Order: sequence, then C-alpha cells, then structure tokens
Amino acid sequence: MRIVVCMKETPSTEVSKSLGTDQRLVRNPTETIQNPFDEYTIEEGIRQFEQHGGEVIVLTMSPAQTDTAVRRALAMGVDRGVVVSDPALAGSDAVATGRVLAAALTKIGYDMALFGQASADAYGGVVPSIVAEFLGVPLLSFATKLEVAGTTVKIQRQAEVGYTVAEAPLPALVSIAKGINNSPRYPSMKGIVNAKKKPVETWTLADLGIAAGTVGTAAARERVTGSQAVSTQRRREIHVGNEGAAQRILDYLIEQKII
Amino acid sequence: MWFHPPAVLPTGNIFGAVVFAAVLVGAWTFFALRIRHLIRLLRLGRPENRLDHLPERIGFFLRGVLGQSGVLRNPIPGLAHFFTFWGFIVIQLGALNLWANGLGFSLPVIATPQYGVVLDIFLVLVTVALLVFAYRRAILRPMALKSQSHDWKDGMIILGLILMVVVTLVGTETFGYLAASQSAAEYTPLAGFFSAPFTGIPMGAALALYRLFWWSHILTVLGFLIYIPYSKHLHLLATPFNVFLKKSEAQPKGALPLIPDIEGRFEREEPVGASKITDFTWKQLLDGYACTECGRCNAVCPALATGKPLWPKEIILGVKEQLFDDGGRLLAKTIDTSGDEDQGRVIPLVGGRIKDETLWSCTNCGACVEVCPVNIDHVTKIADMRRHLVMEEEGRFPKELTPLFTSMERNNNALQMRNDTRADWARDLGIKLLADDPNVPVLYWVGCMGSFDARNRKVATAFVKVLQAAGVDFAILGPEESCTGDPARRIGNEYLWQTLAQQNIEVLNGYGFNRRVATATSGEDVEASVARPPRRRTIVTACPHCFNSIKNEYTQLGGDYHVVHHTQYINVLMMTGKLKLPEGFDTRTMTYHDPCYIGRWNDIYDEPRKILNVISSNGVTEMGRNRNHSFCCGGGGGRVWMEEKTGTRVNHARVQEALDTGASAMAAACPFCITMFEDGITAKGKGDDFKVEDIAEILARALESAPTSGAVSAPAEE
Repeated sequence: MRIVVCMKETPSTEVSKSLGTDQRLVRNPTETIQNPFDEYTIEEGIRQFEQHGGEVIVLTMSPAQTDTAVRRALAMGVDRGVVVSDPALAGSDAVATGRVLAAALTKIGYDMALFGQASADAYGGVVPSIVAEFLGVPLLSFATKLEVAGTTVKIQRQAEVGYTVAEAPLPALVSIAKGINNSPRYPSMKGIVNAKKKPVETWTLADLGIAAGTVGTAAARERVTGSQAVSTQRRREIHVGNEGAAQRILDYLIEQKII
Repeated sequence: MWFHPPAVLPTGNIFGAVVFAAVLVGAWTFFALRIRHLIRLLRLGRPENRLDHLPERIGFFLRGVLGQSGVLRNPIPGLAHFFTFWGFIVIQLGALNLWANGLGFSLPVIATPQYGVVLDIFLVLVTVALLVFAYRRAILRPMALKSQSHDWKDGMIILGLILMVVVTLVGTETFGYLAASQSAAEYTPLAGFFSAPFTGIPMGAALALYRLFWWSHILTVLGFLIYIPYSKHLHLLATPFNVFLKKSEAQPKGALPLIPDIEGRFEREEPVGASKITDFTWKQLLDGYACTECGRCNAVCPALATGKPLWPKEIILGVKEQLFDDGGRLLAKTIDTSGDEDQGRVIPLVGGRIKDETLWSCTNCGACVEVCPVNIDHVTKIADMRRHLVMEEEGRFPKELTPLFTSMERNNNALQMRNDTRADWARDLGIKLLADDPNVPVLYWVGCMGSFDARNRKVATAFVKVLQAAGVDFAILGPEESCTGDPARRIGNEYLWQTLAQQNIEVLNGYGFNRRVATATSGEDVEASVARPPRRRTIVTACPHCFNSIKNEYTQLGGDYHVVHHTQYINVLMMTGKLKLPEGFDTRTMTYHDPCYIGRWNDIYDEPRKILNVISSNGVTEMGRNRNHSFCCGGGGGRVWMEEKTGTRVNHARVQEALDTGASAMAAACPFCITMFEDGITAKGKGDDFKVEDIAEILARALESAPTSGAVSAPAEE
C-alpha cells in the first residue's frame, strides 16, 4: 500500500508571530516546524505502513527555505519526501493549495492519503475536503481510529455521544483528528542519521502541469484586508487567605447560575 | 621446618616433596589460566586510557589499597577489613615459607622468630575481624548486605575458608614446635600457648599432626587460590588495579564522558550507548571484577530506599555476570556480536538482566559512587545504558520525556515556553542584557527554571537583589540563553545535549567568555579586544545543573569558562566586604539540603553553610544525612521530568528528614530541589509551618528588612 502523508510547515508555536504589510505571516525559516496536528498524521501513516507494508511518503507544499520539517518526518520513519515549491505559489488560498496537493497526489500515485485535522497557523481545516473534491475520491474526516482491511478503510469519528463509524473503498483520503492520541514518536538517532540519506524530490508547478495563474495571490478568492491583535487576558479574581473564601466562591457560582 | 634451617621435612621425603611440587605447579597453572581468561574477557571491552596522571595513581594505590582509605570510612567493618587485608599479606608471606619448607628449605626474613611474632599478632587480629564480619552477616544483617539476586553463601564460604587458613596455620605452628622437641628456635607465641596441653605426646603423633596441619594449610591456601577468581573475592585481585586505574581527580567528577562524532559512529555502526558487554569499556568491565558485593551502594540509593527496582550493586554484578556468560562464548567464537538472533547473538543486558525501569529510576545523585570503597562508577554505566535506550533504540524511554526533548529542540528551553520571553521575569528589575553591554565582568546565567518557573523566578529575583545590593556589574543573556542541555545528557540524549551545548558555547564565545579563545565581543573589532588586557570574566548561576554542565562538561566541546555557583559567589562577596548582611537576622531554626550537583559532584559544602551561619541566628541544624552523605531530592538525572509511580516518593522521604530536625525552614540551593520539596511539603500538609527557600531568598529578605546594614551602593570593581 502506498500511503502519502500531507504535511504543512508552520511557524513554531513557541515564538511570537507577526504579519507583514501584505497581511501575510512573516516566516522565519529557523523557527519552522511540522504543523503540530500533522505529527499525529505522520505517526499514523508510519503505523499503517508498519502494519501493511508498502511505502509511506511525505508531501508538502512549502516555500522550501529549510527542510527541517520534512527531514524530521523522514527521521520518524517516512521513506521519502516530495516538496512542491514555486515562487508563483506565494499567497495561495486553501483552494489553490488543494489544487496543487491533488495534482501532486495524482503524480505520486496513492492508495491512501492522510491529512491533519487543520493547520495550527491558518486553522481553516478545509484542505482535505478540497483535495477530495479535486480528486473525486472519498474523504473520511476527523478519524480518531483508523483501520485498513483489504481494499477498505474504516474510521471512527468522535461524536457528542459515542462515535460514528465510516468506511470507504481505497483509494481514499483520511483526515486524522488530534484525538487519535497515538503518541507521535520521537525520532531516534538511527532515524536522524538515515533521514539524511533518504530522497526528497522538489517539484515546481510546471512539473505538475498547473498554470501559474490558477494559484498564488492572483487566483486567491479570499483576501485578508486587516487584522487586529486580541488580548487573551482572562477575567480573574484572586482572593488571598482563608477568611470568607468559601462564601465568595459560593456567591460567584450562584451569580454565574452554575449552581 | 618453620625456621631456618628446616629441622623436619613436612612432606616426609623426596617423594612427598615431588608430589607437593606437582600440586603447587598444578594449582598455580590452574590459577594462571583463569586469570588469562579474565584478562581476555576484559579485552572484549572498548578501549579507554586509564594510564594518564601516573604519579597521582600511585597516590591512589598507597592511600586506597595499602592505606585501605575506602573501607575505613565505615570504621568498625573498615578496621576489620584493614586487619584482614594486612593479615592476608602477612599470612601469605608465611605460606610462601611453608611452601619452601615442603621443598626442603626456608626463606630468609620470614623464617625468623621475629616474623613469627608479627604473624601471630595478625592471626589474632584476623580472627577478631572474622568474628566481626560473621556477626554483621548473620546477626546484624545491615541494609547493605541485603541483595536482590545474590545470596550470602559466597560471603560465608569465604569467611569459613579464611578461618580454615588461620586454624591450620596455628596447628602447623603448634605441632611443628612440638615435633621439633619444643626447640626455642621454633617458638612462636601461639605455638607456645597451644602446645601446652599437648606437651608429652609421642613425637610420632606430633610429627603426624604437624604434617596433617601443614597439608591442610597448603591445600586450603591453594584451594583459596583457585576459588578466588571464580568468586566475589576476585575483588582481592581486581581492586588494587581498580583503585589504581580510577578516574583521575584532574578530571571533573561531575562530567559524563563525551561521545564524539555521534552521527559518524552511527554510520560506522559503532556503539553510542551500551547494552551488549562489548559496548562497555574494559575499565567498566573491570568494575565488575572489583565489586565485592558489600552493598554500600544499595544502602545509600534514594531510588532503592523508596521502593524503586534499582539496586546499584545488581547493575555492576549484572554486567559482570553477562560478561562471564557471553564473554566466554564470544572468546570461544560460538557467538558473535553481529549474528542473527537464532545463530546465537550476544544477549543485550538492557531489557534482560537490567530492566528499563531500573535505569529510569536513577536520580544520578552519585551517592553510590561516593560511597563505593573500590571506586566503582555506577552512574556512567547507567548513563551509557540510557544512551542506548534513547539513541539506539526506537524511543524506548518514558513517554513524558518526548515533550521535554521536543521543547528543548524547538524552544531552546526545557519548559515548553517561548524562548523570546526568557527575560520577561527581569522586566522592571533594572537588569541589563549582555547584548546591550557586552563587556560586563559578570554574567548571571539564569537557566530555564529561573527564567520560566514561577517559584524559581522568585529565586532569580532575590539573587538579583543580592547582586545589586553588593553593587555587582552584571548582565543576563535573556533570549540568547538556551537550556544547557543537562536534562538531555542525564537522560541519555547525548545528541541533543551536544546541539544545545554547541549553541551556548557559540553565544558565550561571541561575548569573549571563553578562556581558551580570544574573541572580540560583539560590536567591537578583534584589535580592540586584543588591546584590552585580559581579565577574568565570571559566569554565575543559581542552578547546580547549569553550573555543572557549563563548568565541567562544556570543556569537552572546547568551552572553557570561569563558572561559579551563586553560593560560592555570595560567599566571596561577603568575605571581600562587598555584601554586608545583617548578622543573625533570620531567627528561624534552619536546616540545609546539599544539592547533589554542587555537593557530591562538585564538593561545594562549606560556602552555603558559611553564608547561613552569618544570616541565621541559630546556625544550621543538620539533617542526619548531610554533605557528601546527602540524600537526593529525587529530581536529578532527569527524574524531575518523569513520573514517579513505583514505591514511595524520594522528595517526601527527604522532607520528612528535614521536618524531623525540628527546623521550620529548609535552605536550598537548587531550583529542582526547591520544586521537589515544595511538592513534598504540600503533600505532607506542612505548607503553613515549614518553608523551603533558596539561600538567595533568605538573604534578599534580610537585605530588604534591614536596609541599615550598610549595603554598598556604589558599583564595586570586579
């Protein structure tokens, strides 16, 4: 089985972010990491590969300033990488991203393609559906459990009460929810050393036969016109000492109609 | 016989002498073959140079072996051992003479009445020592002599054998004296004493008994000779070498060995950790020979004391037993290190004789290494086996460590915080960043805990107040500071440690702190920096782990800095008069906990106490286990990042010990100790009447409350 894991490079969640005058994120290549949601996807891809054999490939569309995120996936156990990078891709929206990933998936050839539930920077969560639409194959979304048997893939999706089971014939796309909780592995030294020898191909739009005008800023159907920082300061009340504390908590809970 | 010349041939005639000569040659050949095998086993290990610093090593031998300094730290069994050791030598020299007697001659010096007196004195002392040992083993049965997997028979067999040696020797002396018609030349005090009841027995009987005892003695000694290298008493032969070859004191105690070129070693399939016996160095294997199973390490281990499956002694013995199992087959070439599982491969120790949880239980406190009388290094072995688990296996480590490693990699700190907020705690405190004043004489290395952890930010703030009160011109690195990598190194992720260490070394070198490299400070050209006279620039830190890593381990990667712990620095500020404290300001009863990484690993015991003795009106009320016998907080060796699920908790045990002193405050000098004890105090419900505080916090409060104490306000010269 050939499994392709789609991954996004996102800025580290631990650095402060800023937007440029074009309202696009200022990217610092040294602080680029694997989209944290995608770690679960990569882990799941490797686990399925370990179970069923075949090949597991990581696919990313990126400005290709560094290869840290791709190499980390390779170090975790992915066989090879494909990076789609083209100056014309700058400013692409989710639809353009979907178009590119769909073309790349077709070119690679896949039995199952895995996605994270969303990216930690844009948090749109729509790319898997868009790719499915372009490819005309089923998408099983937000999987918290994934099983492949023969030519069928079956998932569980967390519901408000219990879970939903869905299945689809292969080839299919699956988006993995963080709730799968599969403890993404820490790359071993052996993995890190081997990753340096694993092949990573870089493709341009021309390689995929995509016209530059259908992607990038020009083709984007949505445009960010402005942004504003929000404060995450919570409302809080600190009561020091024991005296009257219990009464105050009780009053508060009643005020808030909690009890 | 006994004395020169032998009056009676104990072997009877020339035929008996030939038989005896054959027995002698046979036993020694057997012994020599076993020793050759043992040496060949050691050579299966990796190379390691232990012949550096020879004059120092001669000192180790004189003190450790001839002076028995290792065992004498525990006076009663120590003295018993001292006399057994010297008695052994005196008795064996006597035995040498008995062998000569069997062949018809005597040895000069030894075959004299004077030597006979010395011999008798030691025979008595050894007997007393044997009684002490037997009493300890059979009746006292201290914690140290309990074992996880090894029974006490071996020890009793040896005691029995030594007793046999003594008894047969006294018998030989006694009946030799009688057989020589109580000749004055054959007199030794014990012979005189024990022959009294036998006076007048027929000469033939005396001679027969003399020969019986002589043969018994010879056979016991030769039996001993053969038994030793197969038993735990191999230590008799191996310990002198182990002491002579111990880590030179010129090398810092607190440094784990460097694994150079990790990636290259992986490419060449060389070990970067240890699991098979061939992954250890020959010296690490020799440690196993030297172990005499005294169990002092078990008795002091905080993990074992709180019910974890870590018996330090069994680690040393595990390596030794695996060496005997696998090594023999390796030498016979019935297995090899690379073969398939079915073809008979060397058995990995880790996961076999030594369990993963055993290795993860270690707090790296070094109590076992400190107490070992024969200089065995347990901690380095545990570190090498952890390196195997982390780097050579696929993530065989507690899962809660993954976020730690990832945070250290991505955020350059251990606490999953944004490193660009590293100096946030210092806002409004009037603290300079090194980038803004690159030439300050003193760098305060804050560390991850001081920078991010709420409790330890208070320590950092307090220490800054102390520095400011003393008028020290200092700066911090802020976001340019990264985790030193210490947790990664202790846990076994040497690769990550090297990455972070390199990063920090580059930063520190950039500011000209390296004593080995003349570097221009930033914003200044090389000429200007060379023109300025060299001067000592100091790095001071309140974290013993940062301290140990930068001071003792960064040198392995070329970073040579003058690093002091804040307790040392404060002590100097006090002594030079720059910091004036209100003496006896703190009236609480106060105890002090020695952190392992400044205590045992760096021998800093006095400075913290000197400071406390000035500030505290009652001085320091010591806990039972203090200074080099201090009991770990439970947080070292990366333990603070792991869950503690088995047994009771180390921090609770130590907090109880502190409470038992009747103190109302515990002074500490390490952010991890403070974290562990805060937790322990809360768990014990003592939060209201017992406090753990860093020494800097105690001082800062005193300085604030007693501003008239004459704190210097003008900036002092470094």
